[in-house]
Amino acid sequence: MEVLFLIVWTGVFCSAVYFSWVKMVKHIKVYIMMIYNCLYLIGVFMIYPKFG
Amino acid sequence: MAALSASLIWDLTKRDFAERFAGSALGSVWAFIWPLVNLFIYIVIFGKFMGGRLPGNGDIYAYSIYLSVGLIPWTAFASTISRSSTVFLDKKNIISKVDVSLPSLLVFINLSESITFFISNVFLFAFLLVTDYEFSMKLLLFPFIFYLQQILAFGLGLLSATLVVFVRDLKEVVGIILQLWFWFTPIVYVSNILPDFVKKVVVFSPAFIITEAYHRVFVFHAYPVVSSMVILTVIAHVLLIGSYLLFRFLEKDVRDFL
Repeated sequence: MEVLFLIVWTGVFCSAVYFSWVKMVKHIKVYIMMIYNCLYLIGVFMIYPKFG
Repeated sequence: MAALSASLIWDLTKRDFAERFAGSALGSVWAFIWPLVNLFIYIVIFGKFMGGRLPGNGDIYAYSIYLSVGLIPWTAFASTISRSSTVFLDKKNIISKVDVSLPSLLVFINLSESITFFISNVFLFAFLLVTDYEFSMKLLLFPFIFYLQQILAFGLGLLSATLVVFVRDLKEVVGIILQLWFWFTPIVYVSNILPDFVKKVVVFSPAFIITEAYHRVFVFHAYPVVSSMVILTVIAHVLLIGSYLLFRFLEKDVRDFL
């Protein structure tokens, strides 16, 4: 379950990053990527231990 | 502004390894020998000869693992910040000739240090395998802790790289801060030996939170403290965004100064 969670979570964020990168205006892209990155890591640290 | 080019970052990373061992007969093999020797020192010298033991843990290798999982990431963290702080000055010949995105120069340092970190961990995991170490699923969090650590290092590196261009003395200050930061982080010792008033302060240090997370995952087979990791993740990203905003604000001046 832990591995599945990491794969799904990473997949969801990779898709979000990809579509945001394609659609978004250039000058705010970097900041949006940083926010995505922050949410991704928060999700990993908060949700992953629940499988233990 | 120039785009952040993946091929440029990769070229710089390869050149970094080539330059580091330029002229030596063994070349890049040294990139494997150094981590191996360091690990030997942590395990054999500190763990065996000096008899380092972890209080309340009977395992003879517990202290060696405690030391290794603290020192290997710290080396990557400190080297990333230290090298990043002078990267604009070190690479000013490239910056003046090519329209390069300046943050990409920090990305290559981060990548280069991460590769060295990865090589060290190959040897560490080989050691764990031969010592009947009990592997658990908690170890899967290890790369994420390292990722967070390197984001923090990137933010601090970008901040110092921007400021060092204007105030050259700051690169010495960065070195001193890293040295003090290392000794106020429980990497070679356990946090219990710290006086209470020091402990009350250092628990808020990002390096303390990260090192504690490595120790919990590797040595104590526990999950990192969720609240600490979440707060640190937010702080690291706020710092990164703040450093990037400052860099963008001063970018023209940085290029002019170089």
